[in-house]
Amino acid sequence: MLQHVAYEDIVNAVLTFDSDKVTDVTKKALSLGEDPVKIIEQGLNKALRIVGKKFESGELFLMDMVAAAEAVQKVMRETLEPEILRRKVQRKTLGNFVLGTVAGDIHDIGKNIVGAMLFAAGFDVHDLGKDVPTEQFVARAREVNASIVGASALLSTSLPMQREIVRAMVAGGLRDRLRLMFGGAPVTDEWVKEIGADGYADDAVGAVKVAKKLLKIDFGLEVDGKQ
Amino acid sequence: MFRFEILTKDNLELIYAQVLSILENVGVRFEHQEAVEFLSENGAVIEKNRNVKFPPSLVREALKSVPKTFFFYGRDSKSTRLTFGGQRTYFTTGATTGGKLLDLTTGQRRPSTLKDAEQIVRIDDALDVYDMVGAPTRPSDVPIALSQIETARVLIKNTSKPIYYQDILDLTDATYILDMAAATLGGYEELRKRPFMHPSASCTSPLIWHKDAIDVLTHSARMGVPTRVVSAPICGMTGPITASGMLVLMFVEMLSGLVYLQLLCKGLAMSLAPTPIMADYREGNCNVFSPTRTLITAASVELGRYMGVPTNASVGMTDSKIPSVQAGYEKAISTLFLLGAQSQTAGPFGNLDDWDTTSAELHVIDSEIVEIIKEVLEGFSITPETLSADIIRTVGPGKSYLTLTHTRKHFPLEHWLPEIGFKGSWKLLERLGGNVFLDNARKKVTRILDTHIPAPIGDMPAVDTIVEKAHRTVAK
Repeated sequence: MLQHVAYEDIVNAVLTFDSDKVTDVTKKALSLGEDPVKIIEQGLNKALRIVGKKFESGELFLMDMVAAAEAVQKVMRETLEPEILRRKVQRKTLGNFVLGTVAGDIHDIGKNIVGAMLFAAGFDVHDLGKDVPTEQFVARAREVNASIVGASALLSTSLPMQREIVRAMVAGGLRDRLRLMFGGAPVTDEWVKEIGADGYADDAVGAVKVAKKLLKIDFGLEVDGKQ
Repeated sequence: MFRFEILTKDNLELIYAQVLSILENVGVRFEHQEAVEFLSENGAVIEKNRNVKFPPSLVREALKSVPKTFFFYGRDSKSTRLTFGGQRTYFTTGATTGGKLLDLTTGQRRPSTLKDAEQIVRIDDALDVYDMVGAPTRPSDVPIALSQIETARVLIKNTSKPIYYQDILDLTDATYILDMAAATLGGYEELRKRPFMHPSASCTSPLIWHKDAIDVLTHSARMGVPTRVVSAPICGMTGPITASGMLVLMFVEMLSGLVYLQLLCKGLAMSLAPTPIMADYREGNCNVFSPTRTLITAASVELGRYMGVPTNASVGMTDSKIPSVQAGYEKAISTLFLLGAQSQTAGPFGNLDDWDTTSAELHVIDSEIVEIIKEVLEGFSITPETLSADIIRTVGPGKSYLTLTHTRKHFPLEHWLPEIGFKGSWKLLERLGGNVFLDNARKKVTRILDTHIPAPIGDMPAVDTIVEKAHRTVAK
């Protein structure tokens, strides 16, 4: 019975958008003997799904999404991942997702929210940052055996770089081994189809849905992320 | 003239003090090695990472040397001279950075072309209410590296009005575009005497001047052309979420550029363009109208006046994607309040979807909004004749004024008639069918394009030569 109370506390802490509170409640749960993996799945991920739903319904806004995402990322990075490593347990991941803003573009707010939501949904997110050279997308995808590569462009003049990423994946022999998703203000479904990519979403919540859908369709696997 | 004043003297002093404090203690990053070295030699404090801190004395000196007013012209020697820093508000057009055209006939939104730009500039040239013209769109049928240079030629060729705005993005753009402006008048000396372009560059909020922006400002200043410094933070994203916080950040950024320019060219004619951007906090896209934005903009005009620098506001824009009721009220409301704040500029008009989408019809539709405002501002006449005492006595109780000579005589003097807005009855509307408002706009566009010829320009072959050189040398 104590278990469920602890997870509800974690969910509620995330919904206060207070990073320190999230960390405190998580540490308390750990000290009560809760499993870090379950804390993630039944506490943090559940909270972010709720945040996502409230965002979709118009109750919450971008600043709330960012605050929730950052609170979760912080507690993952500083508290839970070290604990998972220490206990040598495995977190189920949906796969490796390489993410970045394309070369020549320094906008990253949206991309950061997408990264956090993917992370919370269970992906291992490798965020290359902003103004990322095309070759870096390819190199990291190869290195981590990525299931999906996603790139964001906020300027219409950055759009061609998304096409370049598709070409580079083909040239690098990786195209058949992963899925490509693109997003950003000037990006459309038509553009993504035109350049031969696989998925598009107009916000972070949508991105998670599309990412999961792409993997299910292609591999029929969701659990261990292996190809 | 009605006044809309938001800031008290105490407010102005407090905000100014905050701005000075941040310039002194936080600084602005200049990603331009030469500029940083120059600022260091001239009294600024440089930290690691090219962060530049400005002692208040440096800022005050610069504000003293900025001309409180300057003159701005059209390329045609017969064109009216405008006074920046004066009492008037000038109505501007253009500044569409997005490059989309909305075809109001088909409802289709498509990438714009140079030909679209040409037509719209000609329309702006024809419409008396617009005092200054800006680049109406970013044409997509030109290589990106050449798009501003080609747009400059379109502006020079198709309007003799002052050219208030176009995107001058880097040193290459600035060099070619100012060369073209100089060539039009017969040289840089002539251009300095009668400047008809007002190059601008924007700080990248928060608190970073990128190299290209400083290159543009530097080049413009060295050529002796009035130069404009822009700050355009996005509220809650690249600037504070609060109205007063946005005000502080914008002035910190703009003054850092102003100090640099005044140190470089003391006494250079300049204006400030505080351009707060709002956001839709769901999709994260930029918005350009809200009550808060109207307030920030009005306050920034007051603050600029307090500091003694010509300050240009951008208002009269809408977040509506289509010509709609929303577009109408957003444009009208923001413009009215800024007129009350005595903004130097109002506009740019002619756009939808903030600065993203334009159409020829929009430029004429918006010109009616401006006409209405101008008509009201002109007031009405009070003379023995207009007071109509004799007429009222003659007509007496129960009779009509319609047949009087007095009525026929004063009708055109006292009443403005719309060309586009519909004032008739339901019966007439049904008989006319269709969308009368848009039909009227289209008719006006057609009429202007069929009949209006811009004033002849100076040395067009020289301008063409410069554009041809750009085609050969500027990287694609």
